[in-house]
Parts: sequence; structure tokens; C-alpha cells
Amino acid sequence: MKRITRKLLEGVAGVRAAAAFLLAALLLWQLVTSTGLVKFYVLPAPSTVLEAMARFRGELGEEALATLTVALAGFALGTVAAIAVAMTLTYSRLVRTAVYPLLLALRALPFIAIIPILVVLMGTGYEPRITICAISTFLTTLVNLMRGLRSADGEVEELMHTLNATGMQRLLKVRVYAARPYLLAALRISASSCVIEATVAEWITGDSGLGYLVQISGYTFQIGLMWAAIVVASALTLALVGVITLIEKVAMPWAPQAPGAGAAV
Amino acid sequence: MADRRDREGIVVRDVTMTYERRGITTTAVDGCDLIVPKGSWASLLGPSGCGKSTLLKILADIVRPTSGIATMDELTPAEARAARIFALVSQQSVMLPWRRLAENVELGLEVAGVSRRERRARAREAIELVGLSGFEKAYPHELSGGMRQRGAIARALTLRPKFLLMDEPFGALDELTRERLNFELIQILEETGATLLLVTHSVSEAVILSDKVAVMSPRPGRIVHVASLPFGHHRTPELRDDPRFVAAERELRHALGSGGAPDAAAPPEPAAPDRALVAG
Amino acid sequence: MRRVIPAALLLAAVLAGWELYVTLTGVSVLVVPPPSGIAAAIVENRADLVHQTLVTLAEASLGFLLGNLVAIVCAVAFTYSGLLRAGAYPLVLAMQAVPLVAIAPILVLWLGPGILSKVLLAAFLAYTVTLVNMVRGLASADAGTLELMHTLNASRWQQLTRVRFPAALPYLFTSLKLGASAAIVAAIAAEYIGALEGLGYLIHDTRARLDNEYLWAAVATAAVIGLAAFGLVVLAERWAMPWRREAVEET
Repeated sequence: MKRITRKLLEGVAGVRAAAAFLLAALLLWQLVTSTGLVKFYVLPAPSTVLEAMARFRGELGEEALATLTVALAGFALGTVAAIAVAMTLTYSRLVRTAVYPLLLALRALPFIAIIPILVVLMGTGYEPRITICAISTFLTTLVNLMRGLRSADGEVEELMHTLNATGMQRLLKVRVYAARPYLLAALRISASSCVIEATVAEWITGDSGLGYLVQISGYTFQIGLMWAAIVVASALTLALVGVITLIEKVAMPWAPQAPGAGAAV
Repeated sequence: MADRRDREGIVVRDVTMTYERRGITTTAVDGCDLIVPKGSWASLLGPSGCGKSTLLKILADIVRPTSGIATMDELTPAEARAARIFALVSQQSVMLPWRRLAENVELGLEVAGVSRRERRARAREAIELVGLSGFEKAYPHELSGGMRQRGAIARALTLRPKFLLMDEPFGALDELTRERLNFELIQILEETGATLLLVTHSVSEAVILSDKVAVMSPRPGRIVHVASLPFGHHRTPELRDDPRFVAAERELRHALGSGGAPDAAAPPEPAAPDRALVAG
Repeated sequence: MRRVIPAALLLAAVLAGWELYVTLTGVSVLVVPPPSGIAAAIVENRADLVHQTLVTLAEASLGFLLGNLVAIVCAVAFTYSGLLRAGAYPLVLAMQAVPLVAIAPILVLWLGPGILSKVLLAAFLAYTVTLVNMVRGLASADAGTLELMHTLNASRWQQLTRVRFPAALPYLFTSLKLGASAAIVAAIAAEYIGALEGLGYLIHDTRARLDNEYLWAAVATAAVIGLAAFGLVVLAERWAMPWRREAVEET
């Protein structure tokens, strides 16, 4: 418990410096927009956005919940599926070699192109939105898990060999742990992707959610509300990523710093 | 009598190991013969690339020899590994970073299916033996290199191995720590009575820790000289001032010098040419 | 290359199975068209399809180039100015949380249905991805090497080009891979919201017209160019950094 509080406080200190700059940026933004230099429909003043957030907080809350539900449902489904498949794939190198390039290729597909197909197959409503989130989470998490499960040090493998460990023991005692940082990195990426995908999917299925809200407020030229919806969506993403980062710090106290795994975004 | 002690010890007979990489055949180990009687201590001494690590890996069943016989207590390396009669300590302490020290030390017993209560007891014993009491809950990254290596030795000891195979265990440590650990290891060996085979490139370490030193030369890896050392198993740091110690060192250096110059350009020994044995 | 064979076989099997399924179950073309139907649609509309694809590609590439260039310049600025780094960088990180693609309606509202909104969105996406990675990459330069350069009295420019940039290359390519796909997504997304041309527009249009086979064909084309863009960057990476094999993979 003490450790968690300490980490939280450390995070807060870092936030203070950034918060100062953020405040300065906001003030600058307010100034610029009030001089009328920038057209209102490009960049409304922060005051306008805040006002919209206050006025429409009911709608914003409702739609935020809709988007969040979709994103979380897809995220959970995709993660569980990815873990299950990753475990099964450990048994066959042939299947792994066949599947891995396909997974990489699938990840390169622009998700927005897939959504209309899903809508055609599943109709409008929650299903295609949850599915796209689930698919993208599944792909990202599975690819990273597979890398993570292979990432155990050669010397650790050698040690387990000399200790006469079985394959299952190696999997459960070593490889699963070696994969944890990769899994958490993938979760972080998937969480933010899910919010984006849920939002964009709403344009196409269009009946609820923050993306839908952005669209219709656009039609009625309520720029403040448009931006307010975006701000809420960003806050959602930050919150999700923050939760996962917190879980990471608690679940992996042995890592003095999170390993890079390349340069993850 | 001596014959039985020989058989129950480490027996290496005409062991050869060749491998091919990029079309070039290299002989890592060429027709080596060595006997380490049960309960005695031996070292493989030589420069980089002389095959000493390969020979040890053959005994540890990490690598398979191309020809020849290697046994420990009359068991082949594979049988020995299954029966868990030996323990390997390598240069990297190979601690699992996500486990605390005690859990790392318990790893061997855990894999062997020993009950938790017994595991804990044996681990605590071993940790005390290597002088790490109090650090059971520390994570590897919180420990110094020397402490981690002691942890690796503790892990090896929990298995109560008949044979202790060590591959340059103190190579990654600074000289002061290394010397201290050498003598600590002697005390541990005295208490446990295990048979030791140590790979090292340090002449003094070989003399401190052995009854017998096999000097190897590189390309191809051959045993060119075997020195017998007259010191018993009870050794203290004063040993270094003993004239016989100095003489032994001289003899070994001479053997190293004449048996093929330590070549700075010697190719590094392959990590494990036959990785198939350690398939993940 | 040989490693791809099992995967290719699997893909072929999937396509064959799909064709069989549609033929056997007689599923309506309005739900799931068979691969043969999609192929037919591609051939039938190939001129139009090619045109729309080129538009999307142009928008994505332009935005990609623009975003990356600006990002690299900014990354260098962040590396050398502690002030900027302390203040603006956290904001950039926060910007990563913004679902940029969701901004598409705003951009279309502001800039109209022309290509500018698409280029800008693609540029934004490429910018955020590359900026963060480049800053990390430039910072990852080995401290020992930089010290050495310092004692050799190397100029800042020399340090930048000879030490920091090479160290940042793996990071750059990771972000290029991500950015290439992201730019295409951005272009298509913005086109879907409001455009006169492009694959996104085509997807929107065919959906409205219930021309399901052409819709799938457009989607397939989008998928292919997304893949191709990714593949191109991978090839470029192999060329630029031949010493790294599987070491750096995108996440």
C-alpha cells in the first residue's frame, strides 16, 4: 500500500510542472481566440468549450458512457481471446510460423476500412463497434504476447534445461513472466486504440457515443460541443492508460523501469 | 578402491566435439581424457576458445559430443540431468528478475516437485551457507553481482548435488570479490563434499580451488597438461604464501605458454552449438 | 522469404473456404459476397477504383511526409532545448491521448471536402507518432559516445548527425511503420466524413448505394494499400539498417 502511494505521489509531482505549462497554453489559446484572429469554427475559445461541457454535461456523460462501454467490452474480449490463443500457440511452432506473418499483415490493415464490412455483417448497433475494438485489441495483444513469450533470456532457458524442467514448467515459471511487460505495453496501446476505434465506428453506425456526438454537433455547427466531446474522449483515453500504467507498477514491482520493447507508442 | 572413486566421479574418455558454422568445421574439443574422482576438485584452465566451457557443457547435457564418453557416477549426461545429480553455475547468475532471492534459490527444488515446506527449509539453509541471510526478500536488481552469484550457488546447493559444475562463475566479478568468494566456496565444498569441476581462465583461481588442474589449449581444444596439487581440502588465504602454491602457478603458466599461445584473435567459443538440446 | 509460405498457404485456404461457404450456403450477396464477386467488381470498376485509390494515396503520402518532417524538426528542437522539453513535451504526450481521427469532422467543417483536410489529419497523426518516438530515439544515443564526441571537439551538428540520428533510426522506423498505416486510416476516415473522392468516399458511397461487392472491393483495396505501405517501410528499414534483423519490431 505504501508503495502505491509513493508511486502516485511521484506521478503527481511530474504532473505539476506539466500542469503549469498547460495552464499557460490554455490562457494563450483564450487570448488568441478572443482577438478574433482565428475563425470560431476552427478553434473555439476554451471558454466556449468549457461552457459547452457544462451545458451539455448530461449528454456528454451519456455518450461517454456509451463509447466507454463499447471500448471496454471490445478490449476485454480481445485481451481474453489473445491470451487464450497465445497459450495454445505455444504448442506448435509450425502453426506459429504460419500465423505470425498473417497477424502482422492484419494489423497493418486500416481499421476504418474494416468497419463498414462489420456493419454489413452485423448491422448497426453495438456489435460491429465492439467487434472492431476486439479485433484490433486481439491482434495487438497476440502479436506482443507471442514476442513476449519468446523473449526469455537464452541463459534462463539453459538454466531451466539443466534443472530438468518440463515444457509446461518453463512456460508457467519463466515465459509467462518474461511476457508480462510486453502484455502490459500491448494493453496500454490497445486501450487507447479502442477508444479511437469505438469513436470512429460510431460515425458509421451512428446512434450513440462520443464520435456520433462530434458528428451531429458538427451538422448543427455547435463547435464548442464538438471540441468538448473530443476533450472528454481524450480524458477517457488518459484515464484508461493511467489505470493500466498503475496496474503495471503494482504488478511488476521488480522492474526498476519499464523495458522499452522497441519504441512503443 | 581408487578405481571405484574414479568411476563414481567424472569420467571423460576420448571426447571430441566438432561443429560446422558457415561451412567451416571447428573442433572445439579434441579427444579429451579426464578423470575427476568422486569428492575431489578439478579445474579446466585455458585461454578463450580452448574448449573448456564446451567440455563442461557436454557434462551438463547442454551440448552433445560428436564422439567419446562422458559420465558422472556412471550415468550419461542426460541420465545425470534427469536424476538431478549435478548442478550448474554459469558466469551469469541467471536470476529470474521477477522472483525474490529466496524464490530464485527455490527454483531448482520447485521444478523437481519438492514440497513447499521442504523447499523453504532447504533454501534458507543454502542462503545461510552462502552468507546471504537477511536478503531473502530482495529482488535480483537490488543485489550486487557478487551477491547474485552467491544466490546462484545457493540455488545449486539446494539440490544437494553430487557434482558441482561451474563455468567461470566469478568471471563477471571484480578481483577482490572473486578472491573472497573463492575461499567461501572452499568452505562450502568442504561441508557438502561435492565433486567440483570448475572452468576458469585464472591460474590462481584454478590452484586455490583444485586437487587437479587440466590445462587446455585452443584450436583444437586439447588437454595438454594435468597438474596434481598436494593441498588438502582445508585451505585458507594463507595458502597463497605457500611456496608450493607459487610453484604450482609457475608450472601451470608454463604449461599454458607452451601449449599454444593464448591468442587474442581466438574465435569465441560458441554459446551452445547444438541448441537443439535446450529447445524452448 | 520461405517463412511466408505457411502463411500464404493459410491465406489461400481461407479464401477458398470463403468461396465455398458462400456458394454452398447461398448467402445473399448483400451480406457476404464471395471472393469471386469481389474480384469481378474490381475488374469491372478498375478505372474508377484506381483513381480513388490514387487520391487517397496522394493525401496520405503528402500528410505522412509533412507530418514526419515537422516532427523530426520538432524532435531536434526538443532534444536541444531543456525548456521546450520540460514544458511542451508533456503536452505532446497528452496530445497522444486525443483520438485524432475523431477530429476529422472538425477538420472537414473547417477546410471543406477538399484534400486539405485529409492531408492535415494524416499529417497530425504522423506528427504525434513520430515526435514522441524521435525524441526518445535521439535521447537514446549512447552517453559514452557523446562524451567522446565532446572531447573530440565535435560540433553540435556533427553530434546530431553522427551519433543521435543513427541511434534514433530504429525508433524512427517504428514510428514510420505506425504512421504509414495511421496516415492511410486518417485519409480514409476524413474522406468518409466528407469528400468528393478517395477510398473513404467510395466506401461511404457504395454503402449508401448498397453496391456490396464494390464496397468489399474498396475495403479490400484499402486493406492492400495499408499493407503495401507497411511493407514499403519494412523494406526501407531493411535497406537503411541492414544490421538489425528481427531486433526491432513494431508493437
